[in-house]
Amino acid sequence: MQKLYIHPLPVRVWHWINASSVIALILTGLQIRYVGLIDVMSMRLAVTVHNWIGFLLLGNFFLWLCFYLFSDKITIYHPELNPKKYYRDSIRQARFYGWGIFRGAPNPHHMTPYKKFNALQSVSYQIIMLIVIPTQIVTGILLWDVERFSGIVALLGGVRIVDTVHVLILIFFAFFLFIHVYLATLGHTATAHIKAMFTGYEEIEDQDAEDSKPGERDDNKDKDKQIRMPIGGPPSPLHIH
Amino acid sequence: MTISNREDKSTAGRVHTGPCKPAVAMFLVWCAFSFVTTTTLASIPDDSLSAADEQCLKCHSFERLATTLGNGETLSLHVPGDVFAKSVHNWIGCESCHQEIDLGTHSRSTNKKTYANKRERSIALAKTCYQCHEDKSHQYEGSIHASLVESGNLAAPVCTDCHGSHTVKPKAAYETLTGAPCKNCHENIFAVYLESMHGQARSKLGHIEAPVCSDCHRAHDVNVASVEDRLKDACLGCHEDTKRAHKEWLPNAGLHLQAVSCAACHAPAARRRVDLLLYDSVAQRPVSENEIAPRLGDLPGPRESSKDGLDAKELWNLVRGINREGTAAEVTLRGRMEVVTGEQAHQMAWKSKALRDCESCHRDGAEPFQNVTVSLIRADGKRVSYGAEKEVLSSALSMNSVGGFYALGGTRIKLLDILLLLAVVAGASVPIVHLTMRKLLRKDK
Repeated sequence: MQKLYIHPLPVRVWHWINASSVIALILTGLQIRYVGLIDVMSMRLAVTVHNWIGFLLLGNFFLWLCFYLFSDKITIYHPELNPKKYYRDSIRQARFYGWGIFRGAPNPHHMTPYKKFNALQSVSYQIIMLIVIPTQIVTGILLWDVERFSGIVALLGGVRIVDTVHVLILIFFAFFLFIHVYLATLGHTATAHIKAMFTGYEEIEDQDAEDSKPGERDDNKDKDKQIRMPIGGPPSPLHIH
Repeated sequence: MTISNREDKSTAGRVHTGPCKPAVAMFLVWCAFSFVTTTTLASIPDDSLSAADEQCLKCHSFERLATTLGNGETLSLHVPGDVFAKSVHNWIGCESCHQEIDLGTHSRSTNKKTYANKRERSIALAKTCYQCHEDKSHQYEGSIHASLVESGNLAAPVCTDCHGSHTVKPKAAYETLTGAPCKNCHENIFAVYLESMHGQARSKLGHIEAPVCSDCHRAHDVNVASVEDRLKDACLGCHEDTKRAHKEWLPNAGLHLQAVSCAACHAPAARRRVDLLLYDSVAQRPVSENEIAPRLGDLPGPRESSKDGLDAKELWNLVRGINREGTAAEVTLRGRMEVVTGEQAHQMAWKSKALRDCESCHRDGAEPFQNVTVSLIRADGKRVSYGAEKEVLSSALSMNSVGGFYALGGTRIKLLDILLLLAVVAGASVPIVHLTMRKLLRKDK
């Protein structure tokens, strides 16, 4: 078993702020929407908290965006510009989650710092981070001050449509959170990936760590090797990126 | 002539530059002052009448003097001389308004212009006022009162209905609680107003700045209170700090001030409703009945209640149908929370009693969303309301037609609630089923 430094500090900070913000936004959002059915706090407080956390999420989004735009880790979202391989890997990954995992088959994806996500994660997170979250942020800002943005709101079809899009994304996240948390338990132990998101180090099977399928080209393999270390050893400062 | 002028000029020059300049200047000022005050005082009406007017009153002071109109109505021709003498019109005399009368033949019945009824006569004689009060007449012509008169409404007032014919008082007299002529027709509303904080402030606390009818509704260009923003502007005209004060505690304060009438919160005892006004967003004005005449058949009939009114699909079809007529108009429904009746709109309470809790409206089943109307403007300028089912506010079909009105919690779309429930159930099921499969199949293995 080896430890790989997969999650750099900015990513971990972003992730946990994002996670807690999304949960808080969902909870306050539900309170705002279901006054009477849920009465944990007053609606006014819920709206105030929801707005503040919304702006926190907005700032945090830019932390994520800037980190990946200005670092070479952007490859985790699209490591290889090869649609055919991307499609093949997606099918293989889906087959693993839908059947192979039940039979104890190995995960076809081998995590490395520059190839952190499997094909399905990669496409999902790109959609979430580049479409879903920005849409939620924009609709949230419009709803935060409808009068100030009345022109844009009218252009989009009115406050009802803007709110509906906002709620549809809330519904999506309400679904996604279950799946995300569940998938996070599919490491070699139930808490392995969750711990890794705190420490930055993922524990990788030796076989996986060395495994590189014949014929598959990995441009970042050399970089990846630099930041592997045996369990128990301290990370070199150079590795923390 | 030339020489004389030259001499005058030189003399004048000496006066202005000589040593007695202050005395002469003071004399000229005194002369000017005397002229102005004398002429002004002469124009102020006193309680006396001219000889010509006294001549008219020789006959018209008889209380039983009357004539019969075309429909058989008896019209009193009695003019109380003492009252007329105290009116603001005493100085213009009888003849100024009754120019059609020829004194030589006045007593002969053949010279008398006959009217079908009193109403026709009042409307015809009101034009006389326009000769002097042109500005007010223009304001009146654009008012709801004038529209109603034109549409044949017998109760709608002309000049004399509010001001009287021979008893016209100074403007200030109408700006008091006792002098407001509005109460003659709007008696119920006036009674409610007197009990409101505005009425109480005026009558019991002596706040003369508290509004009477004309301060909000205007005196001559009276308009339908609920159609335009004029009434809201009247509120904001006195309560200038309203927007800032609301922003301190109310999220989206600007939107609330647009979509909620002042009375909806400041008359807490009133019943509320949501009115969806058919609005032409291209022309920026409410849609009138004439403009959608072919589609009027789709409406269920004017009513105040929402029972058996338009459902979401009918409303959607109505808006779509109007916009499909090939006109340049782009009709939408502009939603606004209002109180149900005009009387309730006058039940303004003290600020401390106004609704401030969000939960009054932003919850499922909240009272304001139980009563929904769709409205448009009649030819006479009045608003006419058609019933709609309350579900039009929470139906997915209303996404477009009622796109501009949405109250968090209160008018939430039910379909989204179902989707959320499904998402949570599906989200929770996937891990449970997947985990179960992993355990079961591994065991099997």
